[in-house]
Amino acid sequence: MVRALASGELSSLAITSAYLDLAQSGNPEINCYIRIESDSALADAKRADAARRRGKEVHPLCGVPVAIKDIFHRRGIPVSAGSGALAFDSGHDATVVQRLRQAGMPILGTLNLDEFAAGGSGINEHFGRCRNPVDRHFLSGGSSSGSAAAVGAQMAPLSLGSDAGGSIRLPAGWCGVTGLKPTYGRVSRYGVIPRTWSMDCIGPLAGDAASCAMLLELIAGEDGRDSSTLQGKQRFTPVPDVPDRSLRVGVDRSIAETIGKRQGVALSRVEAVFRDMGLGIVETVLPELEPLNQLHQVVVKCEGAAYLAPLLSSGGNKVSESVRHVVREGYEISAAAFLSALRLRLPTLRAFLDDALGNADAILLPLCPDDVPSSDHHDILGLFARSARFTRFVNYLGLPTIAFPVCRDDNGMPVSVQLLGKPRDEFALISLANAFERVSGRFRDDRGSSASISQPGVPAS
Amino acid sequence: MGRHNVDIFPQRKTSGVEVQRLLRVVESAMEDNRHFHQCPGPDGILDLLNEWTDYRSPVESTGSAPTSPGD
Repeated sequence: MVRALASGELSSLAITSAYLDLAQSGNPEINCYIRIESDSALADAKRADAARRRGKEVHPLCGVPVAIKDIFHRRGIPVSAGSGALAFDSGHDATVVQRLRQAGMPILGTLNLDEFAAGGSGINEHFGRCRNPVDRHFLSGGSSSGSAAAVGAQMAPLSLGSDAGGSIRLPAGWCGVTGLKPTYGRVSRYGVIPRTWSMDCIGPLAGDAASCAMLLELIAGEDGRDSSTLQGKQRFTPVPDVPDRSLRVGVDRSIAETIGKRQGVALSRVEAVFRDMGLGIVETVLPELEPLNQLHQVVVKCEGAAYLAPLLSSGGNKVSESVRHVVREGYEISAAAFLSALRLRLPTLRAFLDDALGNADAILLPLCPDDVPSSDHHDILGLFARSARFTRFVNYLGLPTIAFPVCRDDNGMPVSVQLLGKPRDEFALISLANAFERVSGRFRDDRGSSASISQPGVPAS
Repeated sequence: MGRHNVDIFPQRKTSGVEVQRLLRVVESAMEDNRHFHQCPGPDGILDLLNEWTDYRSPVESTGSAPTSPGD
Protein backbone atom coordinates (compact mmCIF):
# COMPACT_ATOMS: atom_id res chain seq x y z
CA MET A 1 0.00 0.00 0.00
CA VAL A 2 2.77 2.42 0.93
CA ARG A 3 4.70 1.69 -2.25
CA ALA A 4 1.55 1.81 -4.41
CA LEU A 5 0.73 5.23 -3.01
CA ALA A 6 4.27 6.46 -3.64
CA SER A 7 4.25 5.23 -7.24
CA GLY A 8 0.79 6.60 -7.97
CA GLU A 9 -0.57 3.12 -8.66
CA LEU A 10 -3.18 3.67 -5.97
CA SER A 11 -4.73 6.84 -4.65
CA SER A 12 -5.45 7.59 -1.03
CA LEU A 13 -9.02 8.26 -2.08
CA ALA A 14 -9.38 4.70 -3.42
CA ILE A 15 -7.76 3.15 -0.34
CA THR A 16 -9.67 5.30 2.13
CA SER A 17 -12.96 4.68 0.33
CA ALA A 18 -12.38 0.92 0.43
CA TYR A 19 -11.73 0.97 4.17
CA LEU A 20 -14.71 3.21 4.80
CA ASP A 21 -16.93 0.82 2.83
CA LEU A 22 -15.69 -2.09 4.92
CA ALA A 23 -16.15 -0.10 8.11
CA GLN A 24 -19.70 0.90 7.19
CA SER A 25 -20.72 -2.61 6.24
CA GLY A 26 -18.90 -4.44 9.05
CA ASN A 27 -19.38 -2.14 11.99
CA PRO A 28 -22.96 -3.16 12.81
CA GLU A 29 -21.62 -6.62 13.57
CA ILE A 30 -18.20 -5.89 15.10
CA ASN A 31 -19.00 -2.50 16.69
CA CYS A 32 -15.37 -1.42 16.76
CA TYR A 33 -16.14 2.15 15.69
CA ILE A 34 -17.92 4.63 17.90
CA ARG A 35 -18.02 7.02 14.97
CA ILE A 36 -17.05 6.53 11.32
CA GLU A 37 -15.95 9.87 9.91
CA SER A 38 -16.45 9.37 6.19
CA ASP A 39 -16.65 12.99 5.05
CA SER A 40 -13.54 14.23 6.81
CA ALA A 41 -11.59 11.07 5.95
CA LEU A 42 -12.37 11.43 2.25
CA ALA A 43 -11.42 15.11 2.39
CA ASP A 44 -8.13 14.17 4.08
CA ALA A 45 -7.54 11.55 1.37
CA LYS A 46 -8.11 14.07 -1.42
CA ARG A 47 -5.65 16.46 0.22
CA ALA A 48 -3.08 13.65 0.49
CA ASP A 49 -3.51 12.78 -3.19
CA ALA A 50 -3.19 16.43 -4.14
CA ALA A 51 0.02 16.77 -2.14
CA ARG A 52 1.52 13.78 -3.92
CA ARG A 53 0.35 15.05 -7.34
CA ARG A 54 2.06 18.36 -6.72
CA GLY A 55 5.29 16.43 -6.39
CA LYS A 56 5.66 17.67 -2.88
CA GLU A 57 7.92 15.60 -0.66
CA VAL A 58 5.52 13.79 1.63
CA HIS A 59 5.74 11.38 4.54
CA PRO A 60 5.68 7.71 3.46
CA LEU A 61 2.39 7.30 5.34
CA CYS A 62 0.78 10.22 3.51
CA GLY A 63 -2.62 8.98 2.37
CA VAL A 64 -2.59 5.80 4.49
CA PRO A 65 -5.76 5.83 6.59
CA VAL A 66 -5.74 5.26 10.33
CA ALA A 67 -8.37 4.94 13.06
CA ILE A 68 -7.92 6.11 16.64
CA LYS A 69 -9.15 5.11 20.07
CA ASP A 70 -11.63 7.62 21.46
CA ILE A 71 -9.26 9.11 24.03
CA PHE A 72 -7.51 11.75 21.92
CA HIS A 73 -8.45 15.42 21.98
CA ARG A 74 -9.42 16.65 18.55
CA ARG A 75 -10.34 20.12 17.53
CA GLY A 76 -14.09 20.34 16.97
CA ILE A 77 -14.75 16.67 17.77
CA PRO A 78 -15.78 15.77 21.32
CA VAL A 79 -13.85 12.96 22.98
CA SER A 80 -15.89 10.51 25.06
CA ALA A 81 -13.31 8.02 26.38
CA GLY A 82 -16.11 5.53 25.85
CA SER A 83 -18.19 7.09 28.61
CA GLY A 84 -21.66 8.51 28.76
CA ALA A 85 -20.35 11.10 31.22
CA LEU A 86 -17.91 12.81 28.87
CA ALA A 87 -18.29 14.65 25.58
CA PHE A 88 -15.38 17.06 25.77
CA ASP A 89 -14.24 19.31 22.95
CA SER A 90 -10.88 20.66 24.03
CA GLY A 91 -10.58 22.89 20.96
CA HIS A 92 -7.19 21.46 20.04
CA ASP A 93 -5.59 18.31 18.67
CA ALA A 94 -3.53 15.93 20.79
CA THR A 95 0.12 15.85 19.75
CA VAL A 96 -0.26 12.42 18.13
CA VAL A 97 -3.29 13.60 16.19
CA GLN A 98 -1.28 16.59 15.01
CA ARG A 99 1.45 14.25 13.81
CA LEU A 100 -1.05 12.08 11.92
CA ARG A 101 -2.48 15.18 10.26
CA GLN A 102 0.92 16.62 9.42
CA ALA A 103 1.84 13.34 7.72
CA GLY A 104 -1.38 13.48 5.69
CA MET A 105 -3.05 10.38 7.16
CA PRO A 106 -6.83 10.31 6.78
CA ILE A 107 -8.57 9.52 10.08
CA LEU A 108 -11.29 6.95 9.43
CA GLY A 109 -13.02 7.42 12.75
CA THR A 110 -12.94 6.99 16.50
CA LEU A 111 -12.81 3.54 18.05
CA ASN A 112 -14.65 1.80 20.82
CA LEU A 113 -12.99 0.99 24.15
CA ASP A 114 -13.70 -0.05 27.70
CA GLU A 115 -15.11 3.00 29.45
CA PHE A 116 -12.26 5.37 30.42
CA ALA A 117 -9.87 2.62 29.31
CA ALA A 118 -10.59 1.02 32.68
CA GLY A 119 -11.14 -2.60 31.72
CA GLY A 120 -9.97 -5.40 29.54
CA SER A 121 -13.02 -7.05 28.02
CA GLY A 122 -14.20 -4.82 25.19
CA ILE A 123 -17.58 -4.53 26.90
CA ASN A 124 -18.91 -0.98 26.97
CA GLU A 125 -22.38 -0.32 28.31
CA HIS A 126 -22.65 3.07 26.60
CA PHE A 127 -21.45 2.19 23.10
CA GLY A 128 -22.02 -1.56 23.13
CA ARG A 129 -19.77 -4.55 23.12
CA CYS A 130 -16.89 -4.62 20.63
CA ARG A 131 -16.84 -8.12 19.17
CA ASN A 132 -13.83 -10.19 18.23
CA PRO A 133 -13.49 -10.25 14.43
CA VAL A 134 -11.94 -13.72 14.44
CA ASP A 135 -15.08 -15.15 16.09
CA ARG A 136 -17.90 -12.97 17.47
CA HIS A 137 -18.50 -15.39 20.31
CA PHE A 138 -15.21 -14.49 21.97
CA LEU A 139 -14.12 -11.34 23.80
CA SER A 140 -12.14 -8.77 21.86
CA GLY A 141 -10.13 -7.77 24.93
CA GLY A 142 -9.51 -4.21 25.97
CA SER A 143 -9.27 -1.53 26.67
CA SER A 144 -8.19 -0.79 23.07
CA SER A 145 -10.87 -3.17 21.84
CA GLY A 146 -11.91 -1.16 18.80
CA SER A 147 -8.29 -0.50 17.84
CA ALA A 148 -7.56 -4.22 17.65
CA ALA A 149 -10.88 -5.32 16.17
CA ALA A 150 -10.80 -2.66 13.45
CA VAL A 151 -7.42 -3.85 12.21
CA GLY A 152 -8.35 -7.51 12.60
CA ALA A 153 -11.58 -6.98 10.65
CA GLN A 154 -9.81 -4.98 7.93
CA MET A 155 -11.81 -1.90 8.81
CA ALA A 156 -8.55 0.02 9.23
CA PRO A 157 -5.00 -0.77 8.16
CA LEU A 158 -3.54 0.94 11.21
CA SER A 159 -4.85 2.13 14.53
CA LEU A 160 -3.76 3.86 17.70
CA GLY A 161 -4.43 2.53 21.16
CA SER A 162 -3.22 3.10 24.66
CA ASP A 163 -1.74 0.69 27.17
CA ALA A 164 -1.72 1.13 30.94
CA GLY A 165 -1.51 -2.54 31.87
CA GLY A 166 -1.98 -4.53 28.66
CA SER A 167 -4.63 -2.48 26.87
CA ILE A 168 -2.87 -2.54 23.50
CA ARG A 169 -1.30 -5.97 23.76
CA LEU A 170 -4.18 -8.09 25.05
CA PRO A 171 -6.80 -7.01 22.49
CA ALA A 172 -4.18 -7.15 19.73
CA GLY A 173 -3.32 -10.71 20.70
CA TRP A 174 -6.93 -11.80 21.10
CA CYS A 175 -7.95 -10.28 17.76
CA GLY A 176 -4.94 -11.70 15.90
CA VAL A 177 -3.02 -8.51 15.16
CA THR A 178 0.27 -7.00 16.25
CA GLY A 179 0.37 -4.37 19.01
CA LEU A 180 3.30 -2.39 20.35
CA LYS A 181 3.49 -0.83 23.79
CA PRO A 182 6.47 1.52 23.60
CA THR A 183 8.85 2.56 26.34
CA TYR A 184 7.19 4.87 28.86
CA GLY A 185 7.64 8.42 27.56
CA ARG A 186 8.21 7.39 23.96
CA VAL A 187 4.96 8.92 22.68
CA SER A 188 3.46 12.18 23.91
CA ARG A 189 0.31 12.00 26.02
CA TYR A 190 -0.47 15.67 25.49
CA GLY A 191 -4.17 15.82 24.72
CA VAL A 192 -4.87 12.25 25.80
CA ILE A 193 -7.51 11.28 28.39
CA PRO A 194 -5.53 9.75 31.27
CA ARG A 195 -5.94 6.32 32.79
CA THR A 196 -2.77 6.34 34.89
CA TRP A 197 -0.36 9.05 33.86
CA SER A 198 2.65 7.41 35.48
CA MET A 199 2.28 4.42 33.16
CA ASP A 200 0.05 5.31 30.18
CA CYS A 201 1.62 4.61 26.80
CA ILE A 202 0.26 5.39 23.34
CA GLY A 203 1.13 2.86 20.66
CA PRO A 204 0.28 1.38 17.26
CA LEU A 205 -1.70 -1.70 16.25
CA ALA A 206 -1.37 -3.13 12.76
CA GLY A 207 -1.31 -6.29 10.71
CA ASP A 208 2.40 -6.76 11.31
CA ALA A 209 5.42 -5.45 13.17
CA ALA A 210 6.84 -3.50 10.22
CA SER A 211 3.60 -1.53 9.93
CA CYS A 212 3.70 -0.81 13.66
CA ALA A 213 7.25 0.46 13.22
CA MET A 214 6.23 2.98 10.59
CA LEU A 215 3.41 4.39 12.68
CA LEU A 216 5.50 4.44 15.85
CA GLU A 217 8.25 6.34 14.06
CA LEU A 218 5.72 8.98 13.08
CA ILE A 219 4.08 9.50 16.46
CA ALA A 220 7.12 9.04 18.72
CA GLY A 221 9.46 11.73 19.90
CA GLU A 222 10.01 14.57 22.28
CA ASP A 223 7.13 16.94 22.84
CA GLY A 224 7.57 20.24 24.61
CA ARG A 225 3.98 19.99 25.77
CA ASP A 226 4.56 16.69 27.60
CA SER A 227 7.54 16.82 29.95
CA SER A 228 7.47 13.04 30.35
CA THR A 229 8.44 12.37 26.73
CA LEU A 230 11.87 10.85 26.15
CA GLN A 231 14.47 13.15 24.71
CA GLY A 232 15.59 12.88 21.11
CA LYS A 233 14.12 11.13 18.12
CA GLN A 234 14.87 7.50 17.22
CA ARG A 235 14.25 5.66 13.98
CA PHE A 236 12.47 2.32 13.81
CA THR A 237 12.58 1.79 10.04
CA PRO A 238 13.66 0.26 7.79
CA VAL A 239 13.05 -3.05 9.51
CA PRO A 240 15.53 -5.74 8.46
CA ASP A 241 14.23 -9.01 7.04
CA VAL A 242 16.61 -10.86 9.32
CA PRO A 243 17.39 -9.46 12.76
CA ASP A 244 20.84 -8.70 14.03
CA ARG A 245 22.24 -12.15 14.88
CA SER A 246 23.89 -10.85 18.00
CA LEU A 247 20.47 -10.43 19.62
CA ARG A 248 19.91 -12.72 22.59
CA VAL A 249 16.41 -13.81 23.51
CA GLY A 250 15.77 -14.76 27.12
CA VAL A 251 13.38 -17.51 28.17
CA ASP A 252 12.22 -18.40 31.67
CA ARG A 253 11.49 -22.14 31.64
CA SER A 254 9.47 -22.01 34.85
CA ILE A 255 6.70 -20.04 33.12
CA ALA A 256 5.55 -23.08 31.14
CA GLU A 257 4.16 -24.64 34.33
CA THR A 258 1.82 -21.70 34.88
CA ILE A 259 0.20 -21.34 31.46
CA GLY A 260 -2.08 -23.27 29.13
CA LYS A 261 -0.88 -25.93 26.74
CA ARG A 262 -1.33 -23.87 23.58
CA GLN A 263 0.42 -20.90 25.17
CA GLY A 264 3.39 -23.15 25.86
CA VAL A 265 3.33 -24.37 22.27
CA ALA A 266 3.36 -20.78 21.04
CA LEU A 267 6.43 -19.94 23.13
CA SER A 268 8.23 -23.05 21.89
CA ARG A 269 7.40 -22.23 18.29
CA VAL A 270 8.80 -18.71 18.50
CA GLU A 271 11.88 -19.92 20.33
CA ALA A 272 12.49 -22.56 17.64
CA VAL A 273 12.21 -19.98 14.86
CA PHE A 274 14.69 -17.69 16.58
CA ARG A 275 17.04 -20.57 17.27
CA ASP A 276 16.92 -21.58 13.59
CA MET A 277 17.85 -18.02 12.68
CA GLY A 278 21.00 -18.38 14.70
CA LEU A 279 19.91 -16.06 17.49
CA GLY A 280 21.15 -16.75 20.99
CA ILE A 281 18.56 -18.28 23.30
CA VAL A 282 19.54 -17.66 26.91
CA GLU A 283 18.00 -18.81 30.14
CA THR A 284 16.70 -16.06 32.35
CA VAL A 285 14.81 -15.93 35.61
CA LEU A 286 12.00 -13.45 36.04
CA PRO A 287 11.30 -12.04 39.48
CA GLU A 288 8.05 -13.01 41.16
CA LEU A 289 5.50 -11.12 39.08
CA GLU A 290 2.58 -10.90 41.48
CA PRO A 291 4.13 -8.26 43.79
CA LEU A 292 5.08 -6.15 40.75
CA ASN A 293 1.58 -6.53 39.34
CA GLN A 294 0.15 -5.42 42.67
CA LEU A 295 2.43 -2.37 42.76
CA HIS A 296 1.11 -1.59 39.30
CA GLN A 297 -2.41 -1.89 40.64
CA VAL A 298 -1.72 0.49 43.50
CA VAL A 299 -0.59 3.17 41.05
CA VAL A 300 -3.30 2.58 38.47
CA LYS A 301 -6.10 2.54 41.02
CA CYS A 302 -4.98 5.68 42.84
CA GLU A 303 -4.33 7.71 39.71
CA GLY A 304 -7.51 6.41 38.12
CA ALA A 305 -9.55 7.40 41.15
CA ALA A 306 -7.95 10.84 41.25
CA TYR A 307 -8.97 11.54 37.65
CA LEU A 308 -12.35 9.85 37.66
CA ALA A 309 -13.79 10.85 41.04
CA PRO A 310 -14.70 14.41 39.95
CA LEU A 311 -16.43 12.98 36.88
CA LEU A 312 -18.56 10.78 39.10
CA SER A 313 -19.68 13.88 40.94
CA SER A 314 -20.73 15.68 37.80
CA GLY A 315 -22.05 12.75 35.79
CA GLY A 316 -22.22 9.87 38.24
CA ASN A 317 -25.35 8.32 36.85
CA LYS A 318 -23.75 8.11 33.40
CA VAL A 319 -20.72 6.16 34.60
CA SER A 320 -20.83 2.37 34.63
CA GLU A 321 -20.54 0.35 37.80
CA SER A 322 -17.16 -1.00 36.68
CA VAL A 323 -15.72 2.54 36.62
CA ARG A 324 -17.29 3.35 39.97
CA HIS A 325 -15.57 0.22 41.27
CA VAL A 326 -12.21 1.58 40.04
CA VAL A 327 -12.76 4.78 42.00
CA ARG A 328 -13.80 2.94 45.14
CA GLU A 329 -10.70 0.77 45.00
CA GLY A 330 -8.45 3.78 44.57
CA TYR A 331 -9.86 5.47 47.61
CA GLU A 332 -9.23 2.37 49.70
CA ILE A 333 -5.47 2.62 49.19
CA SER A 334 -3.47 4.82 51.54
CA ALA A 335 -1.39 7.72 50.30
CA ALA A 336 1.68 6.10 51.85
CA ALA A 337 1.13 2.92 49.85
CA PHE A 338 0.74 4.92 46.65
CA LEU A 339 3.95 6.84 47.26
CA SER A 340 5.78 3.66 48.20
CA ALA A 341 4.67 2.06 44.94
CA LEU A 342 6.02 5.02 42.99
CA ARG A 343 9.25 5.12 45.00
CA LEU A 344 9.91 1.42 44.51
CA ARG A 345 9.63 1.76 40.76
CA LEU A 346 13.17 2.88 39.99
CA PRO A 347 15.03 0.35 42.16
CA THR A 348 12.73 -2.39 40.87
CA LEU A 349 13.44 -1.42 37.28
CA ARG A 350 17.19 -1.35 37.92
CA ALA A 351 17.03 -4.79 39.51
CA PHE A 352 14.99 -6.15 36.60
CA LEU A 353 17.47 -4.77 34.05
CA ASP A 354 20.40 -6.23 35.97
CA ASP A 355 18.87 -9.63 36.61
CA ALA A 356 16.16 -10.61 34.13
CA LEU A 357 17.59 -8.60 31.23
CA GLY A 358 21.20 -8.81 32.31
CA ASN A 359 22.23 -11.30 29.63
CA ALA A 360 19.34 -10.91 27.17
CA ASP A 361 18.22 -8.22 24.74
CA ALA A 362 14.61 -9.35 24.87
CA ILE A 363 12.53 -11.77 26.93
CA LEU A 364 9.97 -14.07 25.32
CA LEU A 365 6.77 -14.16 27.38
CA PRO A 366 3.23 -15.42 27.04
CA LEU A 367 0.73 -12.69 26.35
CA CYS A 368 -2.01 -14.31 28.36
CA PRO A 369 -1.90 -17.51 30.43
CA ASP A 370 -5.10 -18.89 28.89
CA ASP A 371 -7.04 -19.13 25.64
CA VAL A 372 -9.14 -16.19 24.43
CA PRO A 373 -12.21 -16.15 26.71
CA SER A 374 -15.71 -16.57 25.35
CA SER A 375 -18.04 -13.59 25.37
CA ASP A 376 -20.30 -15.13 28.02
CA HIS A 377 -17.53 -15.33 30.61
CA HIS A 378 -19.16 -14.83 34.00
CA ASP A 379 -16.39 -13.06 35.97
CA ILE A 380 -15.03 -10.21 33.89
CA LEU A 381 -13.10 -8.52 36.73
CA GLY A 382 -11.45 -11.75 37.80
CA LEU A 383 -10.79 -12.64 34.21
CA PHE A 384 -8.84 -9.47 33.52
CA ALA A 385 -6.71 -9.83 36.63
CA ARG A 386 -5.62 -13.27 35.44
CA SER A 387 -5.32 -12.32 31.77
CA ALA A 388 -3.07 -9.37 32.61
CA ARG A 389 -0.63 -11.41 34.70
CA PHE A 390 2.12 -11.01 32.08
CA THR A 391 1.26 -7.47 31.00
CA ARG A 392 0.71 -5.26 34.06
CA PHE A 393 4.21 -5.44 35.54
CA VAL A 394 5.63 -4.25 32.21
CA ASN A 395 3.89 -0.88 32.58
CA TYR A 396 5.13 -0.59 36.14
CA LEU A 397 8.69 -1.01 34.81
CA GLY A 398 8.09 1.28 31.82
CA LEU A 399 9.64 -1.18 29.36
CA PRO A 400 8.68 -1.70 25.69
CA THR A 401 6.83 -4.83 24.61
CA ILE A 402 5.41 -6.13 21.35
CA ALA A 403 2.59 -8.69 21.14
CA PHE A 404 1.90 -10.79 18.06
CA PRO A 405 -0.11 -13.90 17.15
CA VAL A 406 1.66 -17.21 16.70
CA CYS A 407 -0.86 -20.04 16.37
CA ARG A 408 -4.44 -20.95 17.20
CA ASP A 409 -6.11 -22.53 20.20
CA ASP A 410 -8.61 -25.37 19.99
CA ASN A 411 -11.37 -22.86 19.23
CA GLY A 412 -9.45 -21.42 16.30
CA MET A 413 -8.68 -18.25 18.21
CA PRO A 414 -5.23 -16.65 18.14
CA VAL A 415 -2.58 -17.52 20.68
CA SER A 416 -0.10 -14.69 21.01
CA VAL A 417 3.20 -14.01 22.71
CA GLN A 418 5.10 -10.95 23.87
CA LEU A 419 8.68 -9.82 23.50
CA LEU A 420 9.80 -7.54 26.32
CA GLY A 421 12.83 -5.35 25.74
CA LYS A 422 15.22 -2.88 27.28
CA PRO A 423 14.43 0.83 27.56
CA ARG A 424 14.20 2.58 24.17
CA ASP A 425 14.91 -0.70 22.37
CA GLU A 426 11.66 -1.01 20.45
CA PHE A 427 13.68 -1.57 17.30
CA ALA A 428 15.07 -4.87 18.58
CA LEU A 429 11.54 -6.06 19.41
CA ILE A 430 10.19 -4.94 16.04
CA SER A 431 13.06 -6.70 14.25
CA LEU A 432 12.45 -9.95 16.13
CA ALA A 433 8.67 -9.92 15.65
CA ASN A 434 9.06 -9.02 11.98
CA ALA A 435 11.52 -11.88 11.50
CA PHE A 436 9.08 -14.34 13.05
CA GLU A 437 6.21 -13.01 10.94
CA ARG A 438 8.24 -13.36 7.75
CA VAL A 439 9.16 -16.96 8.50
CA SER A 440 5.85 -18.04 9.98
CA GLY A 441 3.11 -15.67 8.93
CA ARG A 442 0.59 -18.51 8.82
CA PHE A 443 -1.97 -16.97 11.12
CA ARG A 444 -2.76 -14.14 8.76
CA ASP A 445 -2.43 -16.19 5.59
CA ASP A 446 -4.85 -18.83 6.84
CA ARG A 447 -7.37 -16.30 7.96
CA GLY A 448 -6.94 -14.07 4.94
CA SER A 449 -7.49 -10.90 6.90
CA SER A 450 -5.62 -8.36 9.00
CA ALA A 451 -4.17 -5.72 6.76
CA SER A 452 -0.52 -4.95 6.34
CA ILE A 453 0.46 -1.64 4.86
CA SER A 454 3.56 -3.38 3.56
CA GLN A 455 1.38 -5.48 1.28
CA PRO A 456 0.14 -4.22 -2.05
CA GLY A 457 -3.44 -3.40 -2.86
CA VAL A 458 -6.54 -2.49 -0.94
CA PRO A 459 -8.89 -4.76 0.98
CA ALA A 460 -11.67 -6.38 -1.01
CA SER A 461 -15.09 -5.05 -0.08
CA MET B 1 -18.77 15.20 45.76
CA GLY B 2 -20.47 14.98 49.12
CA ARG B 3 -23.66 13.41 47.89
CA HIS B 4 -21.70 10.42 46.60
CA ASN B 5 -19.71 9.83 49.74
CA VAL B 6 -21.68 6.88 51.01
CA ASP B 7 -22.01 5.27 47.62
CA ILE B 8 -18.62 5.79 46.09
CA PHE B 9 -16.15 6.09 48.93
CA PRO B 10 -16.97 3.50 51.57
CA GLN B 11 -14.65 3.71 54.54
CA ARG B 12 -13.31 0.23 53.96
CA LYS B 13 -9.61 -0.39 54.30
CA THR B 14 -9.59 -4.15 53.92
CA SER B 15 -7.39 -4.15 50.85
CA GLY B 16 -4.82 -1.97 52.62
CA VAL B 17 -3.47 -4.93 54.59
CA GLU B 18 -2.79 -6.91 51.44
CA VAL B 19 -1.24 -3.90 49.71
CA GLN B 20 1.11 -3.36 52.65
CA ARG B 21 2.10 -7.02 52.65
CA LEU B 22 3.00 -6.93 48.97
CA LEU B 23 4.86 -3.66 49.35
CA ARG B 24 6.96 -5.28 52.04
CA VAL B 25 7.75 -8.22 49.75
CA VAL B 26 9.34 -5.84 47.26
CA GLU B 27 10.86 -3.55 49.88
CA SER B 28 12.60 -6.44 51.60
CA ALA B 29 14.12 -7.47 48.28
CA MET B 30 15.47 -3.93 47.96
CA GLU B 31 17.20 -3.68 51.30
CA ASP B 32 20.65 -3.86 49.73
CA ASN B 33 19.77 -1.67 46.76
CA ARG B 34 21.46 1.71 47.09
CA HIS B 35 18.76 3.37 45.03
CA PHE B 36 16.20 2.38 47.62
CA HIS B 37 18.11 4.24 50.31
CA GLN B 38 18.10 7.65 48.74
CA CYS B 39 15.62 10.37 47.88
CA PRO B 40 13.72 9.47 44.71
CA GLY B 41 13.85 11.80 41.74
CA PRO B 42 10.82 13.86 40.85
CA ASP B 43 9.77 11.67 37.96
CA GLY B 44 10.56 8.14 39.02
CA ILE B 45 12.01 6.09 36.21
CA LEU B 46 12.19 8.76 33.53
CA ASP B 47 15.81 9.73 34.14
CA LEU B 48 16.93 6.14 33.72
CA LEU B 49 14.87 5.70 30.55
CA ASN B 50 16.31 8.90 29.12
CA GLU B 51 19.90 8.03 29.92
CA TRP B 52 19.70 4.43 28.68
CA THR B 53 21.92 3.91 25.61
CA ASP B 54 21.95 0.12 25.21
CA TYR B 55 19.48 -0.06 22.35
CA ARG B 56 19.53 -0.88 18.64
CA SER B 57 18.56 1.29 15.73
CA PRO B 58 18.20 0.70 11.99
CA VAL B 59 21.50 2.30 11.05
CA GLU B 60 23.37 0.07 13.48
CA SER B 61 21.85 -3.12 12.10
CA THR B 62 24.08 -5.33 10.03
CA GLY B 63 23.97 -8.38 7.90
CA SER B 64 20.65 -8.18 6.11
CA ALA B 65 18.69 -6.25 3.57
CA PRO B 66 15.99 -4.04 4.98
CA THR B 67 12.31 -4.63 4.53
CA SER B 68 10.98 -2.12 2.08
CA PRO B 69 7.43 -0.91 2.25
CA GLY B 70 5.52 -2.59 -0.52
CA ASP B 71 7.36 -5.91 -0.43
